[in-house]
Amino acid sequence: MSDEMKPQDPGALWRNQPWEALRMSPALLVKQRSREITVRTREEVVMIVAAAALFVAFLAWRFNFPHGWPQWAALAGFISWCGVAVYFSGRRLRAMAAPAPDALAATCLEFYRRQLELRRDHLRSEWLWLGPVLLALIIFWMMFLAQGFPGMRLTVNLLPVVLALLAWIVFGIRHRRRMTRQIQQEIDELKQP
Amino acid sequence: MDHNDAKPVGSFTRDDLYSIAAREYGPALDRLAAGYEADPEKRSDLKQEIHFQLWRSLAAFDGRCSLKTWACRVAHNTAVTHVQRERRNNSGLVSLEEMEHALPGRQREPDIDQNRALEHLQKLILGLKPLDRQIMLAYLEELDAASIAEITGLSAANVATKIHRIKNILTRSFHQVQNHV
Repeated sequence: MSDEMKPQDPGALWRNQPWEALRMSPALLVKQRSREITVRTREEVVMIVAAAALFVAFLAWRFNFPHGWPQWAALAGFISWCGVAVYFSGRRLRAMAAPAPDALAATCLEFYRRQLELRRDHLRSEWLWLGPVLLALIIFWMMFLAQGFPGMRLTVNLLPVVLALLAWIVFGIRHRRRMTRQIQQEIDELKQP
Repeated sequence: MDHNDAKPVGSFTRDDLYSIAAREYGPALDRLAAGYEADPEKRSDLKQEIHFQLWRSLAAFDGRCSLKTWACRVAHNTAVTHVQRERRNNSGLVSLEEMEHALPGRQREPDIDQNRALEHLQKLILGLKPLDRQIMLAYLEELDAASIAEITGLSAANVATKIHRIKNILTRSFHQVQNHV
């Protein structure tokens, strides 16, 4: 603290407070941001598959599902789609976490841009990650078709879950489209010198 | 140092500009983060975010304002986004006008301990609404009214009024020693 500083001069007090220099270069900041993108993408994949699986488990509990070959087929389709979604998302995540040697040799800026592009592609592939949830909803309608009207009480009990899932899907689509636009904007900005 | 004194903006790369900004305004950015986030861990994250966004933004820097003004704008906007995202105690934030009215008429005793005085100052700052906080922080950094107006986008007259309130608040809150000697 400087000798000239008045003990209670707020401006001097504020300006003379101890500070710590940021020990990160732009390159390190960009690397850290890249890691954060990978973690966020992984969390999203886990969440969407888990939500769909939970919904199907809920249906199985309420409807004694599956019985009859159409329901078994639907369940097989659901599991397959989950597998496909996890496979492709996992491949993209692996590309983000462990990029190819030539990608690693790129400048930090280029590397970060590539990470953003991968994330943008992940957000754009809506059918991939929405598939399990949509199949879960199709299975739900198959319950009704197979069993006829299952009763007003059960329908009313299930309605909040179905509506919540639908709302979640709509929110998810809008949220991801907004994020995609933001990421594209960031990619465009990074292309400037 | 002002980068404009040495070379035209176009001859600097983004990294060059960032290095200049981080070197020249690093302490001010550090204090700015302290004015927006009380929690040390989150403050560190905010500081990193500010530096990252500053580095990012410098791709669009065209020299129409000074590097200092640019850095302050980016830092404040990033910090405000942080405050909104955190959504903690936002409803309890007050304007300069409200703070001025809420202060007790009697001046508080000066803190002997500088740390306590700094804590008190930080508490005042953290209690302000974002725009007023920007002005308070810029004032404490000794920026003139014109620079504050350039950063915040407010008119110079509006800034002058707010600075008057800030001075009043600080005088009443800190009971400056020279008044008692």
